[in-house]
Amino acid sequence: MQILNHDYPISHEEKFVRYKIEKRLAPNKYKIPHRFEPKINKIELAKLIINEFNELILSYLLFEIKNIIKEDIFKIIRKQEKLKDKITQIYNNLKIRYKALFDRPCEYGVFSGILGGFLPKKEKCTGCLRCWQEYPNVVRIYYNKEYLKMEDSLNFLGLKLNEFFMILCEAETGEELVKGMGYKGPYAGSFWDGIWLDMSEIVRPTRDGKEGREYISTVVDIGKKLKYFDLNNKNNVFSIQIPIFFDYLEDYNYRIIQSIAFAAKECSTFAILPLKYYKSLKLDSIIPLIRFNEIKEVDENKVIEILFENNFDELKIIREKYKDKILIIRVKADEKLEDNIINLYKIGIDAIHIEFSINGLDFTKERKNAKYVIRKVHNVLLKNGIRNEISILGSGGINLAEHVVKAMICGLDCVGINSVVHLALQSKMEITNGKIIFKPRKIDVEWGKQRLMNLLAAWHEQIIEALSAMGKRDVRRLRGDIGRAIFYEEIRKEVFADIKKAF
Amino acid sequence: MEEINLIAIEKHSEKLRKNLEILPLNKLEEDFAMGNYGWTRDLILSIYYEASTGKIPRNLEYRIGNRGDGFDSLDFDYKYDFDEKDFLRCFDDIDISLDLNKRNYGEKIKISMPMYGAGMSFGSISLNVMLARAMAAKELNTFTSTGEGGYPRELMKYKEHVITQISTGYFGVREETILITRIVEFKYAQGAKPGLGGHLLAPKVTPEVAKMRETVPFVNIYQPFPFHSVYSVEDHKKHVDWIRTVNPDALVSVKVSTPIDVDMVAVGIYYAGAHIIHLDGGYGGTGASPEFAKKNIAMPIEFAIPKVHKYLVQEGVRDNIVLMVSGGIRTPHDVAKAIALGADGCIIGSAELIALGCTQCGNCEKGGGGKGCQIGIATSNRRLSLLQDPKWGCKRLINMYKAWCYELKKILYMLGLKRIAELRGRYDLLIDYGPKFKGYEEYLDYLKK
Repeated sequence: MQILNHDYPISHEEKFVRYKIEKRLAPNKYKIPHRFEPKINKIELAKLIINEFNELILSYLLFEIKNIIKEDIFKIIRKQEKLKDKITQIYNNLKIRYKALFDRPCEYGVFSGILGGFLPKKEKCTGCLRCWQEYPNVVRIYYNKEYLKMEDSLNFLGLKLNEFFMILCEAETGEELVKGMGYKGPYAGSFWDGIWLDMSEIVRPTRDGKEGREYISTVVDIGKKLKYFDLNNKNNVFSIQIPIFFDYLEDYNYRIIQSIAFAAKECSTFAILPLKYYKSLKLDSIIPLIRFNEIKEVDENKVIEILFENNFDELKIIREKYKDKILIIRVKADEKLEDNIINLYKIGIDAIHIEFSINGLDFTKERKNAKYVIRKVHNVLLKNGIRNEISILGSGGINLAEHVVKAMICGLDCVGINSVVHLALQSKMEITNGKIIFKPRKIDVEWGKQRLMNLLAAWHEQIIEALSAMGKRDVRRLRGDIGRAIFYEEIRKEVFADIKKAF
Repeated sequence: MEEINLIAIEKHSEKLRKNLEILPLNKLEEDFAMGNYGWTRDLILSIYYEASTGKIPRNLEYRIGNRGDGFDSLDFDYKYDFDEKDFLRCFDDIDISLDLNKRNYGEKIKISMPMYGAGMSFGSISLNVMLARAMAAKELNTFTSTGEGGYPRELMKYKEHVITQISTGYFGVREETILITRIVEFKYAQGAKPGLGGHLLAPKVTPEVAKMRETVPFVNIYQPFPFHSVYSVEDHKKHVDWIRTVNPDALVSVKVSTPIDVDMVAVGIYYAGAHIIHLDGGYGGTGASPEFAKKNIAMPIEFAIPKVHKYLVQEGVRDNIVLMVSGGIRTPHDVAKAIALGADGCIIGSAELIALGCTQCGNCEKGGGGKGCQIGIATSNRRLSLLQDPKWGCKRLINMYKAWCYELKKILYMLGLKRIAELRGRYDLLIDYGPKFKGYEEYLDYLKK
């Protein structure tokens, strides 16, 4: 996190370094149920081996023996060398046939080892189904029940199983997932999936993508931007290198907190954490989350986040007293959201952090999706002509890189992640009373930090992929650019307008 | 080099071929690991059945998948009930052929069905599969496309039915291959990775593939994006002019993805002088693509077709250009729906591969040394390629298309139409059942199912 003010020394000798997050392999610590479960009918398998032995070895041997007998046996005896040749030939052929007999219908080694299908290596199964195609009576591949069980908790977060595995893969390797075959999921959806990003067929600043020659910036500024350049004015803005920050959830344990704080530092972003952690960790990557009466305890800190408790008067006093501080106010996405934001702007707040539930819904009766709420807030600020004078941050329900891009298109300046931290750090998930409960596990802080760095590295790459496909050089240009997105509900209404409706 | 045991290959390929015919008759349990929302288990097994018998299955849902919207939420407002005897009597009178050239220059080409094969490059799929597709295209009087990976010599025999694709990497593009072809396709973008170039991951870049593409073996190939010689419609016209200079008779097809302004792009393609606009929708297939791109960039084809069709009509040029579409066309019903939405015809990719035994497992990108496609379709591994026999594959593709043509004619019959061209842009013949999920809770329920 870099505070922009004019005291910041700009050295011309400073070397330009392209922003990159260091990736390192951080394998899963806790076992995840394997997706596939091959089931083998062992009696059929035994029969199969006997049949194939008959076909490949026995019948061949009999055939050759018959041939030898059919030929003039005495002629062969007379020419002993020929018999020797014949036997060598049969032996070599048998060797090939023996190999063919034990050549298993799996390229991934599920049936490797001496016992083959009698003791399958289930964890190697990729669900390619070749074994089933060849031997449908012997093998069948099922989804592992334990694996399917995870679906309930994930669906609560608006995630699908394959997306969960994508998160784990990103946290493990830091790479975005490249796979064969087209999109497998349902059509659009009412959530973030209901937005498609635009792309341009031709003109592009750079489409060498993440390794491109031209730099695609992912820097965002948070705070009140000046309307014009003024050397005498210190502006209340700070910049982060990636439009993602770590948000706080109450069920984080201390190790997760530490991992978040250190990862935020490494990734040049910030983590919003309660005062006690801010005090104990003393890292400049932490923005303390406080109640208004705790402000004295963070006197020296430039950026603070204050919980909004309908306390405009107190906040006004704080604003007047701490003019140099960048004040972020954490507001719940409820019925009064827009009014609250406008009023907070009026008292001079620099940034608003809108809090959504962890499944990305607001706290109104309708439980609206974050994408609608963000669009509305953005439009209200635009109408009032103040959009550039206040930053809008948002968190809750952001679990994939695409959510970051889409949330920004809807109008956020910067996006916070919380529940995905639990997923990346392999916390247990349980559904109790219609709520998802995360139960953090004991983790090594270094491992946790690396997993989160990997996750952000993979997301950074995907953000760049999206920007390059859209022909954008700067993530800041994404904010509110709804003209570069396709909204499912809107386009469906438009293009299917002439088609009769069944209902 | 990997040792190839021909007896083992024979053992496996014989079993695969035999079983692909009986698998659709198998009863499978609920949690059997096959299929997804787009390609449901029933759809995959239906294609196996069609490719084995040339007929439409009776006990499988062969018309729609489980995406919950798009083609899966549309149906036809049939005018007539199906009377098989009457249908068979007028079967030959129903015309499903398609003229690919509506301009007054270039060769007049008519294909026997409103479909041809999608571009799949040498390297992304095996040579035997390319051959099977080319042989079938010849038999069916339609086309297949080389994709962008060069023009293997073995395909020359079928050159009358092979489209040469030129894409941003110009891999294997030579004037000779432009000269011998009847259709040249410029690929600006691909539906499964719009805005990104093609990927061919290192294990698939075998020495043969590298030689064809003039690159280095076992090193990732990333196509650049976009065409670095095209920055405007004028530049695009220069591309078209280049082809028309080298081969004046060749038709020019331009493949683009489906951005928000796809209608403008289409008109630009028309004015540059192309014969065919090829729209590739966001849910299309691929040999390798970032998951992010497949799902999130560019719109699905169902929404792009009406946009483009209406705009071309508005511009008064609709009857001068052919609109072919691809990306998520899985069944003959999808073909008919796409045409009713405004397309002239469809380009088929994944369904062809499923006819050859693909299970949609998604291991294609591993290919070559990394093995990958276990039955020799999307691979450059020599041993695995041998599991596919071009003649057998050709027969299965012909069967599948025969079944599709039968079904297409059946749809036309039930709509009271005589020609497939009469179906184009007939929104009045469609019914929209609406998306399966309307709110967040419904969406969650839907996911759980």
